Amino acid sequence: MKTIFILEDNLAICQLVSLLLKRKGYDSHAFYNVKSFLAALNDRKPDMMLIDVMLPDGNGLDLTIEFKESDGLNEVPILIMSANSDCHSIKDSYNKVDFIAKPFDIHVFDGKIASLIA
Amino acid sequence: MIRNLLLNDKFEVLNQLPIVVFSTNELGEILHANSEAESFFERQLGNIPKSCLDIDQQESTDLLQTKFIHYFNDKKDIQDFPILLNGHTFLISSFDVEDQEDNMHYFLLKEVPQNLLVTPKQKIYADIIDLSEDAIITCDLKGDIITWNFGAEKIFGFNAVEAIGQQINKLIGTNKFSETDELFNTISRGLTYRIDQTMRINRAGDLVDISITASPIIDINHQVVGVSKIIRDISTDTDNRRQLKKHNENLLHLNAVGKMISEKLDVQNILQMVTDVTTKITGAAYGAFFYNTLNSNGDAMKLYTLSGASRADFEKLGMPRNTDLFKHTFTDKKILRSGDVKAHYKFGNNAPLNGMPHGHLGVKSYLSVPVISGSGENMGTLLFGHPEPDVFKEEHEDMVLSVASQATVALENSRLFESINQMNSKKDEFIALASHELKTPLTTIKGYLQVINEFNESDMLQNFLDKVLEQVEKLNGLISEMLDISKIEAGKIMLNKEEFLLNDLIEHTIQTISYSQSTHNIIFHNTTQVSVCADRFRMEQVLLNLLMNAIKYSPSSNLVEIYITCEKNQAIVKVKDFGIGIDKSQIVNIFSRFYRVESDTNISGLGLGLYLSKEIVNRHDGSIIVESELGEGSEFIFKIPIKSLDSQ
Repeated sequence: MKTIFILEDNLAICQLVSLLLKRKGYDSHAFYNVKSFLAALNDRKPDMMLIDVMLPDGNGLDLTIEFKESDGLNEVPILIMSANSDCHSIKDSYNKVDFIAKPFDIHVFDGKIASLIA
Repeated sequence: MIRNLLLNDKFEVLNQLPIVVFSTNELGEILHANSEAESFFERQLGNIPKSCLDIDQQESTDLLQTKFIHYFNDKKDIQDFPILLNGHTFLISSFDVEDQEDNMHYFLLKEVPQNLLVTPKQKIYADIIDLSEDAIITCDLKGDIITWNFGAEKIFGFNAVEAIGQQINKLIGTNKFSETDELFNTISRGLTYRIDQTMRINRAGDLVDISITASPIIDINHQVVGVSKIIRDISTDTDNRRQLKKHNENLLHLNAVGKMISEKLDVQNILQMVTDVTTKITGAAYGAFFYNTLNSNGDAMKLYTLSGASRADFEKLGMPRNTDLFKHTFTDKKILRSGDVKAHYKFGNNAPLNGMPHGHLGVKSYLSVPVISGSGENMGTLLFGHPEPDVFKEEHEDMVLSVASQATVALENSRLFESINQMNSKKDEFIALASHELKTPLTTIKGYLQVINEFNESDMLQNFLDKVLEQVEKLNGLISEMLDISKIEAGKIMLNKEEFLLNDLIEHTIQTISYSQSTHNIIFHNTTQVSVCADRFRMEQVLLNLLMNAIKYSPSSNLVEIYITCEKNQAIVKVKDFGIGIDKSQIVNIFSRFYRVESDTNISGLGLGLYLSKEIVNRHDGSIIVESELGEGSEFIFKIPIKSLDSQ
């Protein structure tokens, strides 16, 4: 079973995304801040990361750039989700990075997850 | 000899003299006349006149009186002054008698043959010249001084003995101011030469403001042999004129600054301009404007601008301290003007420094003027200094106050402008934050609705869910529009330009629309392949907006057409509908923010779509226009340049 780490500070969205992933057969773990997310990454490397942009203790875009430019996690696919559609251009800068604007269509969401994790 | 005779035996000798001698008291009343005088007066006048002033019969009587007054009051001797009696000229002379018993004055008269040296007229002229307040100087054509009157002595300080024979330029000329070749050339042509305002130097070495009228002296053979100059001291005039000129200049400054500061909205600019102008018109060596303002944290601080001193010189002095000197203006809002601030009885020696700090700019003359707004608020302080004492006058206070009052209006406007700007950027921040916050619950709502939809098997529920999802989409669209507008307004829309086929984007957009509506058939006249360099996401917004509008505003039609062409390096896209059309009077407003065609209250929207589309097209250096016929339909046409990525 593929494991997906979720970094999202909004509880309701976390629950929705977990449900969406579960119904497609993924194992998901949700984190509400950057600190606990990084702590979890120390223990385990997920198959994919789902990252929000505006976070209480950081910025999902900066985090993505950091992961993509480091050795350990640069191969892990990342789906960035944000209500700010201006963030979409980051998907062109790195491999295995995609962007989905909130609110999203769940079928589009499913499709992006599937193609990233494949 | 006469004197001695008189002293020995006044009356006897007098009577014996063959010349006319008479004496007067200080009022000029004739007291004694010798026998010669008696017979002379009898012969000439028929009697002995009461006053010496009556003995003259010519037009020069006034002059004679002046002569007598000079004589009686100033002990100025009369020597051979001509008088006219019955057609004969006589010369009158005075002589003093040192007599302690009476204060008598003696005069003698002698007849002059008409052919003698000095004609009366010439003598009169000589006296006019002698008594004139103006300097009357004659020179020969080489510039050597021939005559030098008393007026010249008064103006220049040299007496006639010192002046006559000297070169005029050497005596009263300077390098800068002297008799010019032009003057001598004009004179030698027999013409008059006039200089309204020039300067010469006096005996003390000071420059004197004068006017000169020079006339040629022409001899009996009509040859110009010299120049006579009437020189007038115009220093009082010149002072007045200078004052007037200065006032005029100051007025011009005031006008200019008034105009300029009312045109500016930038505080720093206004402050600098006011500082420069007031420093100039007060004649200060240094000027500074301390402006009370709040920084972005709301802390009080002082901005300041300088004139005449470098910032480095000023920085080492620090902000004006809370001494009585500064408190007087900075806090108590009072003008302070001092001819020598270091010696000022009240402010010259205040704590904590007890005088001027070491390394301070040299300041003796000091002027500080509070800048007070219309509402009485102390907006700041203007400070002026000069190393010389007594530079600032009362009029300077008035002028600075006048500039300051104009400045306060501009500064208040500028404050308003800046606070509006701040509020505006706060508004943009708020909208950005609000739209983000609104989208978060919308994400959950939409997500769960779609999940429910997946599990649902009821047609009725399906129908409801579709309706709700449609409204969620609409709500999301409105929030996005709002955010985009605030970004556009703030100039924060970033274009991510890439090269792509516009035809592909149009097809993609049509497809997207066809998912959400089935009322209209969109026909794409895909005739020309056009590649553009643009922001794909933003261009899609424009196309979506135009196509959705075309559908929205043509409820009784089922067709929308879209064309693409290329002309003069421009991609041209036309969206044509067959709907309600737009009234001519409304076309001008249709791209305005929040504008909606009034008649269609049934059609929803914020009225931001076309405004946003126009802004996006403009940002691509393009243009958008509309052509419409009420009841027939509308055509929206936008053009954007075809560009390669290289030319970016």
